[in-house]
Amino acid sequence: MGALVPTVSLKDVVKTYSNGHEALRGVSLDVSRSEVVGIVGPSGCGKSTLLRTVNGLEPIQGGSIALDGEIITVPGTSWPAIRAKVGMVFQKYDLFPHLTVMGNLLLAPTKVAKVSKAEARSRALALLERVGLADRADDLPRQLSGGQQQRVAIVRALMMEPEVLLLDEITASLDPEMVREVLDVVLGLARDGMTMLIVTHEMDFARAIADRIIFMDEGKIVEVAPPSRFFTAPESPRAQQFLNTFTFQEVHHHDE
Amino acid sequence: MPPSGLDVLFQGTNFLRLLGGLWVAARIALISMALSVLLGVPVGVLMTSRNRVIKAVTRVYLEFVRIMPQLVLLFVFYFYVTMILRVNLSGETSAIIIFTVWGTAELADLVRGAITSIPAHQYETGYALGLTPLQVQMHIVLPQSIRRLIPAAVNLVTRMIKTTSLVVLIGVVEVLKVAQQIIDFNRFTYPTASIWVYAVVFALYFITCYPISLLAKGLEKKWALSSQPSH
Ligand SMILES: Nc1ncnc2c1ncn2[C@@H]1O[C@H](COP(=O)(O)OP(=O)(O)OP(=O)(O)O)[C@@H](O)[C@H]1O
Ligand SMILES: [Mg+2]
Repeated sequence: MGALVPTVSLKDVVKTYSNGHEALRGVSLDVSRSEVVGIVGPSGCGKSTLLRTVNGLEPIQGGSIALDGEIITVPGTSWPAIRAKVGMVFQKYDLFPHLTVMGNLLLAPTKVAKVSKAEARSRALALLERVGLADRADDLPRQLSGGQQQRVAIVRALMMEPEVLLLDEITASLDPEMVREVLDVVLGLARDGMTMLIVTHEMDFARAIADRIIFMDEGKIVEVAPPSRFFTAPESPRAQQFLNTFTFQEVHHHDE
Repeated sequence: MPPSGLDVLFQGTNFLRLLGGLWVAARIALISMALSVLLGVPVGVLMTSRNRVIKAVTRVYLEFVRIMPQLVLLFVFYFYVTMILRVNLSGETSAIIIFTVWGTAELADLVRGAITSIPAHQYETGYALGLTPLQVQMHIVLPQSIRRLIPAAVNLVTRMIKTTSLVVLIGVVEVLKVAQQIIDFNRFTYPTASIWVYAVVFALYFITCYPISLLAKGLEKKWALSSQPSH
């Protein structure tokens, strides 16, 4: 039955950049419907590259990727059609600066999905309401704070009713006080059963939201574990070492 | 009381003649600019090409036009090229041709700059939403490029109007030439005329160029794309 087919499935995916750098060296991963996978690992280990292969922003040199059981990494794939089903939000707030919030939200539904403007509009307003920005529909991106822009970027991805959402460190360039409002939106999506691959450096968030943690290092998946186990008793030395960088040793003052 | 140089301007049709001269200058600038836009946009798009030959040719063209003083280009064209080609071109036509050659290069470079200034993640965000490359160009790159381009292009108009003062040297009777004629004609009756006439010429240039440059500033501000949180 359909329930057994993973929503996203990577098999031995190899990504070599044109300069010869092997960013993914045989990555296999199945993500089932409504699953939330947290991807963590040191900088440069290939997390962003992994997400970008799923919607074809990076072509792969080996292995295969399937969406709902259908292999998409074959010649002749219509990437725009695939991407319409795979939402992605990036680290940099990347709203289109010349369009209002509403303009940003309507662009893809009306041009790609050919939804009527009225229908897309009412959907946009409902989603904006949900992220607490219903009153900002006519503002330009530059009038919004970073956290507000990032919430709009999430809504923009949701406008296409994606089957899976790829989030690449979406809070990494935000001021600390704005991180929470964005993560709360993502937590809400998880509760509603959105399938998500989330790359994050927010370990507490990963622990709270993920059904499964993938730990990567040097282009490979090194450890796969439920968050409760990964964050308390990681098996691989690499993961232990990585998690140690997030804790601080207590400093003892010796006033003698 | 000696006659003031200012009176010269209200003698006969002097002031109207100055305005007529200004119109000649503005006409040269506007026709050249219109032609520069027509030619500069496609050349600018070509300049973003990855083709090495196209890149090199457009680069050499731009550098050449930038390095050569406009006056040299005007002289060479008006006195020699027309002679070699055995064509008879008026000073004004020659000026329009040279200013178009110059304006096309400058505008093309502005177009190139406007296109390449759109960050890569704007393209990627568009692709990630399912837009085709053509749709990304149409709805994301082009509108942003135009917003960046227009204020700079408007500024180029003022630079052109100012540079038209050079065409006096190839015999075009524009505002500066008219001013000189008025001064020369009244040298003995109004010895102080020159300062007043030049002051008026200065004012005319200012009145023409300042609103244009204000317009450029206004557009720049209105279309600012940067994301500065307003809180
Ligand atoms: N376009 C590119 N060309 C060449 N090498 C690249 C390119 N993009 C990324 N890389 C390299 O591939 C490796 C993986 O990069 P990637 O961006 O996927 O890492 P990451 O895990 O997302 O890191 P970070 O946590 O810093 O975002 C890095 O060594 C990086 O330098
Ligand atoms: Mg990354």
